[in-house]
Amino acid sequence: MDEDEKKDMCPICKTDRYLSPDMKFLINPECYHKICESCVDRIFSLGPAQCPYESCDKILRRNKFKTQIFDDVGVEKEVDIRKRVFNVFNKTLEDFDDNQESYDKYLEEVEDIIYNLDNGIDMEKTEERLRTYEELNKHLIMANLERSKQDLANFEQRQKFEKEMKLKKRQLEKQIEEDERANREWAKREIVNQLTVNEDAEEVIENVRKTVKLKKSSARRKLEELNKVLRNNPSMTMVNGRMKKRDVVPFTPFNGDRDLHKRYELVENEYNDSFIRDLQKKKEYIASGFRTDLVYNRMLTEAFMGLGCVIKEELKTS
Amino acid sequence: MVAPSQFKQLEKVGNGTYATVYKGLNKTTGVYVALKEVKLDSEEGTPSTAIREISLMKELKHDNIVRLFDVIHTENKLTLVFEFMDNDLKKFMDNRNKGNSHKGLEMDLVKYFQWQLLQGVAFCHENRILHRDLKPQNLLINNRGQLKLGDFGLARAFGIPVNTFSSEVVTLWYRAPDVLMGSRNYCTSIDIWSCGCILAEMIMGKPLFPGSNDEEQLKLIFDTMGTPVEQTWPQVTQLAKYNPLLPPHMPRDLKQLLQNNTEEVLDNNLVDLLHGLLQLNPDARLSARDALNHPWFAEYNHAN
Amino acid sequence: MPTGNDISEATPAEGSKDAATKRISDDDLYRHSSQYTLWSFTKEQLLEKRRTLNARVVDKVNERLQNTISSHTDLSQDELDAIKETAVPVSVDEELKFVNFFARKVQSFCQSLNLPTEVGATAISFFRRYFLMNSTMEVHPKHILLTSIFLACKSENYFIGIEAFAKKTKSQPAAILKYEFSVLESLRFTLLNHHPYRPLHGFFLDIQHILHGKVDLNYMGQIYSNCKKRITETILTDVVYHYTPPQITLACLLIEDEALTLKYLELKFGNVGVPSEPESAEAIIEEAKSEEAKSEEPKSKESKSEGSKSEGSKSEGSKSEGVKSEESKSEETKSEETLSSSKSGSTINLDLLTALVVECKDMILNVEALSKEEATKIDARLHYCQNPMLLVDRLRRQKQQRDSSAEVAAEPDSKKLKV
Repeated sequence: MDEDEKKDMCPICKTDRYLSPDMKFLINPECYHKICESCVDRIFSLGPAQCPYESCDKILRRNKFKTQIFDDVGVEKEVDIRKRVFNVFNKTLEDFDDNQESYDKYLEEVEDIIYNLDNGIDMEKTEERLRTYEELNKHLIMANLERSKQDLANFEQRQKFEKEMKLKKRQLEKQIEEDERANREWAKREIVNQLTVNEDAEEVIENVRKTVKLKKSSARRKLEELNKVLRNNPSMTMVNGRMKKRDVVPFTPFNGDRDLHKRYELVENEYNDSFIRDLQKKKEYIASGFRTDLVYNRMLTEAFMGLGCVIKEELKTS
Repeated sequence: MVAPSQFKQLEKVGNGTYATVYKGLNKTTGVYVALKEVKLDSEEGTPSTAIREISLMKELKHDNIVRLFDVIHTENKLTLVFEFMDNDLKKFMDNRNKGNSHKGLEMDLVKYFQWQLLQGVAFCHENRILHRDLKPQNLLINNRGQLKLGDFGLARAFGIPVNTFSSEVVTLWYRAPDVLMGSRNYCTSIDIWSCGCILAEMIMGKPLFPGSNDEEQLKLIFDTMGTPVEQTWPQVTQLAKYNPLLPPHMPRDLKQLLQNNTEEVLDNNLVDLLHGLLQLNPDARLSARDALNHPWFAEYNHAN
Repeated sequence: MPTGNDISEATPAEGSKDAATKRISDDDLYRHSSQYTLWSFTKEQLLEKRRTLNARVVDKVNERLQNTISSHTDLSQDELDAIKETAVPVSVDEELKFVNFFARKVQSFCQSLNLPTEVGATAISFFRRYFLMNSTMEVHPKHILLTSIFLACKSENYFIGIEAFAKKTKSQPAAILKYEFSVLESLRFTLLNHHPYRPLHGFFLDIQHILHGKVDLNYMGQIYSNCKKRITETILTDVVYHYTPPQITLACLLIEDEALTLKYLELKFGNVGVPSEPESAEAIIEEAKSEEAKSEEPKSKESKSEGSKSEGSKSEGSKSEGVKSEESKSEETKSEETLSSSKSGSTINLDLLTALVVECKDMILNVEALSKEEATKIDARLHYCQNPMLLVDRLRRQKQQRDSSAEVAAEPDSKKLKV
């Protein structure tokens, strides 16, 4: 039996693809031994069992079996290992404050682990290393997972948006074309119409031309605007193919240098202030836009405004 | 205290709500100032408008609020010495209109002026002060393009709005619908409405709602912004001068309205901001701070 | 902003902007106010200010007395002695008390005119600030009294026409307006005041939140109105120059209910990490109620007689508080930290704040008022300092009367103190 034939035959039940073209091979990342689907069903449907390969003592579970993607089992194995390791070691350059050197060092360490796992070197120790890292960096790992999910979502959203805009753009361009044709025809008719009442041909033509100019702009303006939006989509920018939300500095009258920490927390339902509550119920106050939260905020702000100024220290003439 | 002789009085620049304003020269420093002369009424002493303006301006020191340097007293008049500004927004816009054709300002300039206007207003409101008379004439401009709020003659401090205010405030064209309908419990939102009218005026080169009396003013507003109903403005029917016979109007397309009056291309952010400032229901109007955080100002809000 | 033409007083606001990294807090907003920049002083500065003013005027008065004596060579020895004895310039302390005596009159005038609380407080503040810049030996407080109120009405938007105002106060419009500009000028045109009433409203809300479920709401309402009255009293004292409105408010709350206020401050500003769970809700309410019962007594006394008011609460306060304030003061000197940490302006050092508030409270409770008799005496001295010859005239008139008739007309010692 040559290699080619081997490739298409289940080593357990000896079924051949030539005879059953629907057969599928599955592998289990524990040992990467190839078994056909019906054998997997048969052997593992009652629970975990030992790998049917002779001299393989791995205990396999039904739900861990998967379709082999790469022909070469070695490649398949490495890809799986990489996936597993990168799910844990998922730092990006940003996590190193863009310090390329320490990021490279980190990547090297990750490659070491992958190499060891792939080649069965220091298995126990390496597994331990992986587990320890996972334990210690749980938060960061979760956050990074979330981030990459977000990045993907943003990217897809952006693509969808651009697609929609491009469609709209084409529609607008078509519309402009049609509008202009309609305008030209309308102008011709209008000139003829007006000439029946107005003798001055030049004035009529000038007037009609002006009106057409005004009419024309509607679709054109929309298009120009659209182009503008596409040019500088306000809150999203592409950075190295990744979406980034720009940091927005909250406005304050002191050009962003205002301390926005409050010394209080607004908990409206805990205030028993019959005076304010009565105002709140008055119709003329409601109609005038009276808002209790604004009033409470004002009062609380004033309660703490100047609380931290120690006059005897601050005004001491030194 | 500064001796009155320290200033040389130059040409008359204009009339404030209760005073005449001259350009002046500080002879010792060679710096121009604005001299606001208040006639002392022997009947009531110093006019309360002057007292109010002095009182508030002494506390407000901000880049977008005109500075009060000093107060001088001579026989029968009081002179308020202000920072000199070259122009006001009204004159600035008038100079661009040729004959009957109206021309708005360039969009970049509109944005820069509106940003400064809202900065000044936000600072006033933070210091619990209402301006109550925002209009292009009271927005002073200098040759460096700085815009500053001036004429605090109608301004006043506010606490809880329990003390009812006069509804005879703000020049008609810039007066909020709630005030027009007789609200006396208004607060910061009244200045915001004016900011909205000013923004539209800068774009179009002419006033947005140029009414000639209270009724016409309300009519103009409702024609464009729609007639308010209880659903959009709770308790509006309770306002003293609410007119139940007003014909119902749907809001007009503000963007189209403006676009017909300008050659600039209007973007949706601008229209959205304008809608936020020109909400009929005062409760729904943006605060000055919110307005400054609006995406239309994104370029000013980003750190770099 | 153009710089060269700044001819007004220097503004510290501009300077503090330089520090680009520092963020402007609400405290800094207060530091921008004229109340802070112009009308806040350390105790030493305030004393120095009053001393300088007094010394300058005393010199003038003495000079005038000397001139009078030397220009009137016909004065008898008796008359000279009388001048030396009666026309004595008043001291710093006497001036202060005399001004405060009249400030109280400003207050009762405002009450009888039914002015809003804040307008009254502003009038008092105008009046007292005026006499930081002017001596009672130059301008008699009675002249400034009504002008202060009239101006406060204008600046606080509670306008009363001069005719109506004069009629209500039984005075002449001209007399009130005569000093208006002088007052404005002395105030350096800063008319906006921050009174502790608004902070009180804020604390009233915040206490309900911080001690939620632990305070009786009706009781809080009572505390609020008591405190409001007490704040009006503080406007009459120097604490307004040494402490900020929220600090004065807390001092008043401390006087009203020490246990409640300290609990609030501890929960509010104490070690933020572990909020020490206080005793059960009932316990605090009980505590508060017993406090209330305690304070019931002096209060009923207060309502009976105006005069004994300050004395009653003073003795009570100094007894229980003496030890405590000593403690906190030493704590304060030990600590080098600042009240408001520089990292984030919103945090407050509890110990320093408590010490500051206790200090303020002691100052409120230790105000000495002038009796009417003492005031009358000072009034006579001011009168004769200004016009020593009036004294001589009176002596001569009395002598004449004695000579002409046997019965001595028991004319009052000086003209009655009436405004």
